[in-house]
Amino acid sequence: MSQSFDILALYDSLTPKERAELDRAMEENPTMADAFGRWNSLRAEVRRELAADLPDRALLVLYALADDDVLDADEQARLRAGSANLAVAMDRHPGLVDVVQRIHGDREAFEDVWAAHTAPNRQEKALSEDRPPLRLVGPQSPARWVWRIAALVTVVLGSALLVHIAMRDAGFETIRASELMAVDLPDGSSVQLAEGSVLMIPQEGRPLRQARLMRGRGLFDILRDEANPFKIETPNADIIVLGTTFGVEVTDIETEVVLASGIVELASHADRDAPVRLEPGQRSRVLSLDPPSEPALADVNAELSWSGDLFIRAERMARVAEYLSEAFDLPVEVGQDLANEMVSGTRFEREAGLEAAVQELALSLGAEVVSLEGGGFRIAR
Amino acid sequence: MGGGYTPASLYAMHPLDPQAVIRAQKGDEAERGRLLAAIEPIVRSFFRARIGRVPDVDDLVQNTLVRVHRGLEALENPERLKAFSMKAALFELQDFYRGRYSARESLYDPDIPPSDPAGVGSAGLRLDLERAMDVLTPHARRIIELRELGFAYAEIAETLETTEAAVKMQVKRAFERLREVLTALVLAILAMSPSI
Repeated sequence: MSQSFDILALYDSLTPKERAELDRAMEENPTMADAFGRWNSLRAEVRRELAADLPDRALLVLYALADDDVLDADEQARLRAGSANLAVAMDRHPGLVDVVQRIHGDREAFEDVWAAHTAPNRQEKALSEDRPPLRLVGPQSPARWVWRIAALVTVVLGSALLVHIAMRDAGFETIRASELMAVDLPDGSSVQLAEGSVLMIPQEGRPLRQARLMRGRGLFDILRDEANPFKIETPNADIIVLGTTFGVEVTDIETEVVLASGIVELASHADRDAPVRLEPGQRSRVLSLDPPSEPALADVNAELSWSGDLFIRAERMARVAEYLSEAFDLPVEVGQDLANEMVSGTRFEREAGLEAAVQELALSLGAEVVSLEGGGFRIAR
Repeated sequence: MGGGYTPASLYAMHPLDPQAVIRAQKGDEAERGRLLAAIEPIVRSFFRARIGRVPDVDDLVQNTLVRVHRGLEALENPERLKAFSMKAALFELQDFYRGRYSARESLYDPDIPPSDPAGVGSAGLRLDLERAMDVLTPHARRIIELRELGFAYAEIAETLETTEAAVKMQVKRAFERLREVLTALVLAILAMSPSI
């Protein structure tokens, strides 16, 4: 029982199912309901105090930006007028100080995004100038000349490599995903990047149907244009796309592609003329500069689960309902006559929500959706 | 997903260029449309980065663009378009946090006082709550305030540089502590009441 009381504190972050269970428990236990009521009253009191002490929340934004010379005259006047009350409010409520800190983070995030969308390609300084001064030396042995020539060759090759990298990266914008993020590609396609991924996309003036995944994982949604295939380059492989959804994972030595729908071709940089063609539900990988592995069956939903979306390659409707129910934590029921119908080649985007998913299924099956009391849906003919 | 951008070759000038901004301010509707179209993916990426890929992003993007659209003429220095757009997005984000849990709260209506079997009354309850808040640690108060300011537990954890599990544990402890204190206060009031 004590544990049940604890969990009341997190009521508003629980799933509907968990809340329903707690609601039932409170109906049977007035002490528990009373504790919950008092907790909510306290929260309401905190909210009332915050609203009374800081009626104009925009002041926090102005305050957070005040030191950065971005406020216009009206905003500065507004901040001056509210500064006394704001100081009192921040003194009384330490949470407001945290909000100001968070707004600083918001500002940095906005500037990063703005720079990523608008700034010309920025070349990172790759060479350090911390070299020791040259020294005059006496007569030198042949071995020393061998080392010198080797060092010279190394420097020349290194310089050539840097020039090559600089030329290769010119006209591309580099996006580093600090968390799961969506990127709109210049041609209207899109990609979800996993945290830590590095993607390069073409800037204006470059052919738009291309991108480079240098590291990490990407779930690509490529607009169909058979006359103009999309090319994704990784450090060791090329992926030619005709219009499709697929995941790519790139490490220093390996590129792996998992295809959800459509068609892609994967080739090693060592032999670009010998690609393998993947069908939906297949995977292939290029290890170092080896040829691509033979396409093999993949568990697409498991492989791409990091994206948060749900992929159905070919499943019975009853199983699809179970997947959706687990993913959204709401009941999804299926009429008996639909349970064994096959669903294939479908992707449910989490952000679209459960109702959109069941409506899409119902439409494809010629069925109807009924909302269940207490949440969830039933699909039946 | 929001739209991408139009190849530069179709236009002589980038839509976020100050000269293009001036043209938009002076009534060039096509330029204004290009400007808003160029800002749209930026603010969309920003909101997704801050609150995730949730349906609310569409509303935030729309409202931010409306703010930019309505305030564009008043922008005195077109070189400051970035700051102008940023402020619009930040104001909008704070509005979002402020109203974030209002729909969910209506499910259990925290503004309705709890049952009051002791007959303590709302003034007594308010006093109890003030005294009860005093028993919380400053850290717990910060968390409760941030929650009431509209932040998700994961966001609170990010702000306080801790884990979501640690934040939730603090909330549970605060709840337990408050329950003990409020129960003791109610019992004390009951004991002092001559009518009971």
